[in-house]
Amino acid sequence: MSAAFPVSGKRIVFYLFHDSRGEVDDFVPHKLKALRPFADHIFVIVNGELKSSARSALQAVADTVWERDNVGFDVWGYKTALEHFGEVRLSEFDEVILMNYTWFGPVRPFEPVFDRMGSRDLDFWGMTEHGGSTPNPFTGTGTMHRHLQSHWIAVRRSMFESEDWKKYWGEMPMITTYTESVLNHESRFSQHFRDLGFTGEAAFPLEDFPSEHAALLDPDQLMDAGCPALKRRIFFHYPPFMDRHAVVGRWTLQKAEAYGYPVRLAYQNLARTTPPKTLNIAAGMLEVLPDEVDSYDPTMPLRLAAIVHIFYEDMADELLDRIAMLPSSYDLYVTTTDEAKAAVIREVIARRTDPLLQRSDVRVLPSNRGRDLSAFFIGCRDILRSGAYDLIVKIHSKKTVQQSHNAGLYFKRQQVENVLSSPGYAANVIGLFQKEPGLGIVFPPMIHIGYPTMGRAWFSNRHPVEMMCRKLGISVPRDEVSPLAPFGCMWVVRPEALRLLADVDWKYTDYADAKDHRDGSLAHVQERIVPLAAAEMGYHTRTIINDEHAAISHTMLDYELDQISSTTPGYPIEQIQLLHLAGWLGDGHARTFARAYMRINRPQTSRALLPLVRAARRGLHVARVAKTRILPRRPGPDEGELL
Amino acid sequence: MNSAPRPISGRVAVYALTRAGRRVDAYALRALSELRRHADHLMVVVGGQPLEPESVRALESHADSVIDAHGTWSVARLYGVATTTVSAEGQDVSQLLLSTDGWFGPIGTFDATITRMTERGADFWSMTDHGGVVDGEGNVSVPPHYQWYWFCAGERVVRSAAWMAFWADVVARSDTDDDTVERRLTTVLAEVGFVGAVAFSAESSPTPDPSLVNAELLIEMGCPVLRARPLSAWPPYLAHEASVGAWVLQAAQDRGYPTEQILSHLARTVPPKVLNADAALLNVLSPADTSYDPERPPRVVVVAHIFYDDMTDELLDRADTLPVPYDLVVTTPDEARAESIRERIAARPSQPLSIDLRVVESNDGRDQSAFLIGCRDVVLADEHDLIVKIHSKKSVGDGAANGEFFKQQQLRNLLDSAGHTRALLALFQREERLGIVFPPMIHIGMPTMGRGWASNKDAFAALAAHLRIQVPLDDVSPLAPFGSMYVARPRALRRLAEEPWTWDQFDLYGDGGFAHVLERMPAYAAGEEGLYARTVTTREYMSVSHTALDFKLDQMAATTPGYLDQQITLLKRAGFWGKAKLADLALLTIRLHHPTWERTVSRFVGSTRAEARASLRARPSSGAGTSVD
Repeated sequence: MSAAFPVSGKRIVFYLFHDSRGEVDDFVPHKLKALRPFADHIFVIVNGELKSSARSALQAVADTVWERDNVGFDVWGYKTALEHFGEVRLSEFDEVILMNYTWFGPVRPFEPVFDRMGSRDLDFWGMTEHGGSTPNPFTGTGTMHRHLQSHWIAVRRSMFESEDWKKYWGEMPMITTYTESVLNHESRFSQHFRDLGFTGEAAFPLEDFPSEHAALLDPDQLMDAGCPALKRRIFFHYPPFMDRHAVVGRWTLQKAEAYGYPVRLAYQNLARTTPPKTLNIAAGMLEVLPDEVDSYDPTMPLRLAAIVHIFYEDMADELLDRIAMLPSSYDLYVTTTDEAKAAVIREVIARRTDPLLQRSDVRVLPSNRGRDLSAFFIGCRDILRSGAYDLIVKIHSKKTVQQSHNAGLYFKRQQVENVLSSPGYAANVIGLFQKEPGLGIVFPPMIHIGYPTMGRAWFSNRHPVEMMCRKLGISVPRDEVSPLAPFGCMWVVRPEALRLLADVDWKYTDYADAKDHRDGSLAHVQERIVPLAAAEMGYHTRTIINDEHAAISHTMLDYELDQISSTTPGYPIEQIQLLHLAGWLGDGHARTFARAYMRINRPQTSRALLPLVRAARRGLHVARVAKTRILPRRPGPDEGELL
Repeated sequence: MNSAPRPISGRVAVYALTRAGRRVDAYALRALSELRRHADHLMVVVGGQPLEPESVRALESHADSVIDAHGTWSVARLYGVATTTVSAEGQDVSQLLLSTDGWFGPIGTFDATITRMTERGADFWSMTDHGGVVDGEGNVSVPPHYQWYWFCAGERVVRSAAWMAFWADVVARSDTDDDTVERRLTTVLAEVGFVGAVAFSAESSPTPDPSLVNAELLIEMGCPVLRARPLSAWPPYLAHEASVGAWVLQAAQDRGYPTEQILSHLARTVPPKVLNADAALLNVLSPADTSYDPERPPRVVVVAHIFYDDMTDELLDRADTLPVPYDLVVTTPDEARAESIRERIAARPSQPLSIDLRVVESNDGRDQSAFLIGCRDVVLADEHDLIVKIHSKKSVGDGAANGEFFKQQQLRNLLDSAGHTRALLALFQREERLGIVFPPMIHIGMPTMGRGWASNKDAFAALAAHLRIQVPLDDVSPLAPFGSMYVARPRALRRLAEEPWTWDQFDLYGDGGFAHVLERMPAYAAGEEGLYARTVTTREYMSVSHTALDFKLDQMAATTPGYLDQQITLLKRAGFWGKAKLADLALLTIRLHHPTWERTVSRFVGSTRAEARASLRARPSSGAGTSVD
């Protein structure tokens, strides 16, 4: 019954696609183009509606682009597409591949896999497998059998022309949750057809890899073994879970790049679909840059501008010393608040002989409302919109007078020294942008010394940020605990990455006046929305730090995490989950612990769970191989999203 | 120095030793030399432990008189002894400077400060003061007071009845509490009508406690002394105050103070992980670093325990990143493996200076016993400047990715590339008191955070006492080369190698067993010699580790209010969560609100939970051994 794929056989790929924006990121056409030589028909099933540009992008690389209502998850996408395509037309083909968009590739060439699997006498085959477990982690009872993962399941004529196949799809119930999708299709398919006597194999079988879920937990070995598919999930899955299993996304992407995959495609898609701080850790996107030049190409200078808001004119020299570290010629725009300061600053600039300074423009702003941010988004609006520059460096005269001496001084150094540490370091920063056209913005990691940011850096800005995201059309998911944000507002940015913010005609009166310059004000919202705005445009963020600050920050983080972890058992994922389930401890009143008890031990009867806990649980429900206690699943933010 | 003793007369300076242990460190002798220039009589009062004879001789040559008061740890009592001695034996004493050994100096010189304060003409003066603390409810928890680590009493004060009565009272009492006496001194002198002055006052500082949290600023203002506290206080508190020890040290060094002496002393007297955080003793090594001096190549021996002979090449590839030819000592547990290793080494294109392949008696204790017993002679021979200790690691944990990550975390952070390893050796060239370097504590894929001692702390304390290691133990996790790969000066390991270990001591493998206790000991052993530890990483590792720490800490901190020191304190007061069952959470509440009830309540709750609580500080992780070979 089973057979090898014939020499001049025909293959059809049903590629299931969903994008909450109705857009298509570049990794999809890239993949479909690479599939072209192996597919006689590429049928893209779109769960949901597409924008016209997205439709054209897909039509250029597919034979059919079929949009349907976003119902029934991937399972009903396949089911209805098979019906739509029709048995008669399908019978022209020797192999059907049901494939979805949840992976990047090809990170290794398709050809050897098609050759190898094509020569095997099989009824069906898949790319990777997931191990079985009892009890089934999704239901708590019965057994989940080992199974081919649903992002790539190929079926030969011997099976797709069988009655069993028709029955399988004919009896498929409506799918309304991710769990139902897994229970009714992904985890059922392989065993179901094996039980019926069909033969199926994985191109990269379970036995060849250490974990029960190689696609998530052994991505490097999979790539080395030749697997073309790299799961997206590695880079947005709940980070403490990945940490528990020592999966280092940064090194996985480096390997994919070394194998020739254009990783900018992955970054573009991940930036748009992953909470920025989650991505920052999942892909290890902190660059520890040396003071010696090691990654700058002087033959490809970028067009640079520096925007420097100088409120304290006595700091002009100090700031211009930093700007003078830039590796190629630049234009300088200084904003300040009155003519007297402007005169002092002009004198300072005239006295200095910065060799790479091309032109300077000192602007007096009509208002100090919004400080450096209004100076940037209003006072330098023309520069942001001009298209004249590849990169804009933003620093300002920071004294943080309302804070204590130490905290203010540390914050200033943490900002200035990690943006422009030395000429060599500055060149390396520019070098990052030379290397990655998709890099939108870089800034220092979140300050945590001298400021109580850990665990709450949204402060009261979360809701205003949500409102503004809605207004600006930003649908990049938000981080739950603290956002990835340029706290301190010094950065290097591509102006295009800020277009969503730069195109708004902000007014000085939108910003709070000095006495209300605090959390919730526009400046604080903009501070936190910058990486989200860049990500919406497909630009990713990296944090940058010099050696000295890395040493200071890392030793303290290490010490403090160790201390704060000393009262809860297990791996960080378990410790975090326990504390999050217990909820806000406040001053540790007895009531608090009573509530914590109910949440942890009687979740059914306790009130609606905190968003934090939902995030932790979302992280766990694919944790099928973890020894972690599996909690009941809550729906994610986007019901069409595949995991 | 070494001048003849002078009588107790004129300007008398007292230096009270409590931090020395059995040995007086270089920083103290430096302080004494400079103090002597400003005194007509320099008196050292030795409290604490009895000193080694060599240290006694050093003191005698640096001071005019040495009073042995060992067994006394109270600064108040030592000052009392000194003051009563001066009163009884002194002639025409014009001023009396009381100082402890809890500061480093002079940063710059004492001259300007002493001249300025002498000219002020106050009855007494101190270097710094504390501005006082009023808690949230308006109660004074710390009254404003002059700090007496440097306290100078003028002639009127020294001759006053109040002064003599104050110290006579201190000496007569058995219950002297240093904080109380220190605070009372200011009050007593002020009540009598004496006028005091402060050289660098809290009033003109950003905080009430500048000598603790504004140390860098004080140095910039010309303060000639740096207290030990900014480099030994609880790191989360210093982080809250944004006091950055690394910059404090830099400020001292910029003014010519040999900060190696500071670190050397703190290595002996501060828990190593505290020092690691307070002074940011971590180096991101740069392959482009050019500070290695090829004119002074260190003599290096690589000691590799190779159990998995198929890893021979991988290990020697790492060793070959050394910029110098090295001696190689390989230990392995049997002849068959030795033969395989011999062949593999012979087949390599480059060869070490010498190869010493040793079949050790037993694999009990793995690389620890192979090193401390099998290579004791190598450590003690003093033929090398540096020992590189590596081994064939195929970890444990529960997942190949975890084991692979751990192995790379060890080998690559130490011996990543020729440039990286050069930069690592340059650290030892630059810093004579640097004893050992190793990667930071593994925390990705291993449940070490919060419990790096696992269940080894008691056994560690006993063994440390046996080895005469007095370095204080860190509370939650030790600073240790988890994974047991490091580069060290032989002297840093001397105490460990001198002990006549036997193979049967290593037959228990696991937490609490010798191997796991010894794994945690190198930084403490080095510290006892006055040699400090640094952690080292590659840029790549820093990218991965820093982002992970940042994220995990952010998550852990999401349910408690305040700064991290406050969050940690609240959680620690509440205690261990156990499985978060009703009784566990009841205990958390009781510990926070009725700490005295805990004993009674836990009797009802049963011994299991009591045990869980007892193991709070050294909690083995659920199932997976945190310790590591």
